[in-house]
Amino acid sequence: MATTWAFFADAGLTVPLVGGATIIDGDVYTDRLVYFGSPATGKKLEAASAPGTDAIEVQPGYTPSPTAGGSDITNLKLALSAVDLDSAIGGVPLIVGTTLYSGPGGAVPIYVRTLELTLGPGVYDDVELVTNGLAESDA
Amino acid sequence: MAWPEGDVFPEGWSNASAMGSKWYVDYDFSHSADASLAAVSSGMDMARLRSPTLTLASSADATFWLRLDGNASGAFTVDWVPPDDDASTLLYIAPIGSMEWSEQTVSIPAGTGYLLFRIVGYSGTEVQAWIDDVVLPESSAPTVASVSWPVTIAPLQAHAFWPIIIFDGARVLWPVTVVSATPDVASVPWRVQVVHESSASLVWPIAVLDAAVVGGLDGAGGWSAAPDGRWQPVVTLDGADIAARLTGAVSVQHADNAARTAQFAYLPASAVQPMSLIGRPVQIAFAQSGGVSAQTLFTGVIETPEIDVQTGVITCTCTDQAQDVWAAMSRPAIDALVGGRWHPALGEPADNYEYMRARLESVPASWALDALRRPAIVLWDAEARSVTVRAADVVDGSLSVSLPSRSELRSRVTCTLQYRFPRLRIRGASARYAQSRAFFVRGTLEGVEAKQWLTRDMIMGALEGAQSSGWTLAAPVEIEHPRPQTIEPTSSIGGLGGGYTITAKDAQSWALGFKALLRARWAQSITETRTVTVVWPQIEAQLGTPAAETIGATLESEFDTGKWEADETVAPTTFATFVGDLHEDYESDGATAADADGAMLALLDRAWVRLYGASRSGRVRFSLPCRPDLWLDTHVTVETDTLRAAGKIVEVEHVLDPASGEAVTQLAIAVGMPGATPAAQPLWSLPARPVDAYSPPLSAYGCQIGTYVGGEIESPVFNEATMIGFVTNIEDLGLTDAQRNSRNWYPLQLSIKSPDIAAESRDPREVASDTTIEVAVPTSLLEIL
Repeated sequence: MATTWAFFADAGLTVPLVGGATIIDGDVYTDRLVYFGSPATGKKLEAASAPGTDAIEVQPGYTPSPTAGGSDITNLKLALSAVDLDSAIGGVPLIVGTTLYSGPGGAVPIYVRTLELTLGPGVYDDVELVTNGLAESDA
Repeated sequence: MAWPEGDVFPEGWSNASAMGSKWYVDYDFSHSADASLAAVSSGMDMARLRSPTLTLASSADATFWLRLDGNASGAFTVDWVPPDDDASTLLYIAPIGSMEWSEQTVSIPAGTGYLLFRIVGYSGTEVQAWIDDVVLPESSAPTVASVSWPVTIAPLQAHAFWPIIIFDGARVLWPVTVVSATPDVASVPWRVQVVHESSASLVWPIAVLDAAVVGGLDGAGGWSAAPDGRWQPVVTLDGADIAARLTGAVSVQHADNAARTAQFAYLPASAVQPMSLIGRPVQIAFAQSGGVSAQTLFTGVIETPEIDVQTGVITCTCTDQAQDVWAAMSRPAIDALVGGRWHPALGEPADNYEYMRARLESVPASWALDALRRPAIVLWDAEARSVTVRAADVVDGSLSVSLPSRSELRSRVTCTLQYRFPRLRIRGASARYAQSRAFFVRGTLEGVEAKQWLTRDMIMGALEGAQSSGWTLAAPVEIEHPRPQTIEPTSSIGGLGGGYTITAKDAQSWALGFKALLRARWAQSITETRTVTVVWPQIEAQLGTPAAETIGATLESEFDTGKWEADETVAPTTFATFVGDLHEDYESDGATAADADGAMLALLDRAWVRLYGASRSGRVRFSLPCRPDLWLDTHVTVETDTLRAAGKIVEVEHVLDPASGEAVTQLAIAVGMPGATPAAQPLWSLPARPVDAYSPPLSAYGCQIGTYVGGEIESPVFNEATMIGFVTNIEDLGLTDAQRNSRNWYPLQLSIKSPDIAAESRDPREVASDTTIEVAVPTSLLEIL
């Protein structure tokens, strides 16, 4: 059964996010703010590996595998604040907590910096944002 | 012998059985070597076994079978131990070593005690001792009423091995029931949920656009978004590309402070229930031919589908659901994004979308969702992104100008804030009367003249009456009494036959005067009306007459004044202990004076924003070959041979018509009054709160107490309505009947009239201030050449 947690465009968790970024060639990067949360009520989310102990992580991943000349997980930096984006490392998972609760109050803002790096003009569909294995249950 | 019911079962005396007078105790003492043996001291008990307590009238023998085996030093002993464990008697001792089963006898002295079987002073590697068939002498039964059956096996060293071996022989088994106390239990609910492991993912396509597609303009002409003039719309419905099924034009509209909308029509590849399309996600982009350099124009959902039943074409009207997105945002998030000022006194919004709009009224900015539906606040004067458009860039004939409308312009905004609160008033008033003793009695040449006396009872009664009009006694009454004395005539001819005597008893009753403090407590409703008119003098001078509007708010401090007036224990409980006034303005939560200032500042911000906003009613409109990158956050300067104008984009519409090949972006920029002069939003200095200028007269703090004497030649007729105070008469000292009947005589009495509280102090009162603040408002580059 799929989790009700997903990525949203707004803090109120009303607009499912259309992922991706557009970079003007030469602009180096584009920043986006997305929200990870669940609009359901009375739910909580934990890492399936050790609920309540292990971290819930959001990380750049491949769809399904890297391609030559395509985008790479290092094209994405993740942080919990805009300031932290500068020091974030491309491709590194972001810990968003050990237990998250549903509803707008439990939404986690995630800042995503998409770097152009060696990409040239074009559209690249090789990467995604993905979580580790999660267990959703009644709060 | 009988089993020793009720006795404390001896330590280690477990797994025992009895038959007749025999006790069968199969017991194994043993000890294994380990590192801890080094800590064993010689003489210590290595193991012990206690018999039940016995009471013997005379000495008797006990027998038991013993087997020893071991590689150690030490001894197996049997002691007789009195109940106090003192002065035990050694009955038997055998060295540890190899000893096969043999019956042993010990002589037990008379008295009460128990047998103690021990291994003593052991050191070595291993030792075992067995005892069996213990036969004890008859004993008087213990007298303990209850049977307790605890079993405690306690090796004396931490590492002692303490097995119990039970031989299954030809004996009657004597099962031992061990009853333990109910254990304490700690429990915790342990709900088990079985859930599926899952994960969330989001595809993150990266589009890198050639910088040239967002360049150009500034007279460069051409079409940077589609340099070769070939383009295509990209429309996805519920994730599926339906561009090939489109019919007619695709359009996207967006304006300040409005949702983004889009329209397109398509012929579904298969039958579709139009109603199922409502709410389905839609994304529209403009791309160069082949899908290159796609730029998103719209992200949203279908609001209204319409079907042409003849052709099957479905026309979809779409929205970005801006209102819902804003409504779902929390107020702190809106506050952080919008800034500005707001106060509940300005009206409580229905939802957070309305709250955002109410707050935005104090900020020179507009709201929108960007192409990816992210909430944004766009400042009117922000120039984070600026482009210049010249004649070569615009579609021929598309440039038009509408100047700011006079009817839209505002030169002044009057802000009125009414702040209503209860003023809790307390007043102290004096009730005071004093006469000299000579007023009441004095010696004359003819004798003594006297008047009827003021008395203590009259004073207290009159003060009681004064309190019935809302006043209360605030302090003990001070009464001045005459001193006991005799007043003699000033000549030898005595009118009273020698003098007028005030006895000690008279002096306690009579009074020369008194002092009392009365207190009144009431609440008065105060309404402070602060009016501040924000004026833009330059535009008013240009218009020649004020173009005004009024905004306002009311803030009220709630308080149960009736309860406070009726009950002096209701806080605030400040009391007057002096003649004069005290007051406290009651400010309830959210309706303090600081709140009033906050609401006033929000009104002033709104006033300035209204002046600025009203001045921006001019529009410069033009069309460009489709420019998806131009949005409401872009500041555009238009430079042509006939026009120079600059302003923020306030309306944008993209129309993509694959049939005609035209893809056009129509823009409108807002322009204000000419001048191109910036002006910052004012930092307000609030005018002082209005002050109540009314000051009560002195009479408001004193009681009316006059003096009226009857029986004198000139005494007027008594008038109870006007003669408020001490009313007395001269003493009838030798008047003739004719004289007595010709004069006016009064009732002896004292009345006190407490002061009235003026309407200015009691009735609802309004105080007002009126201030004018002149401001500057940004003007625009707007030149008609």
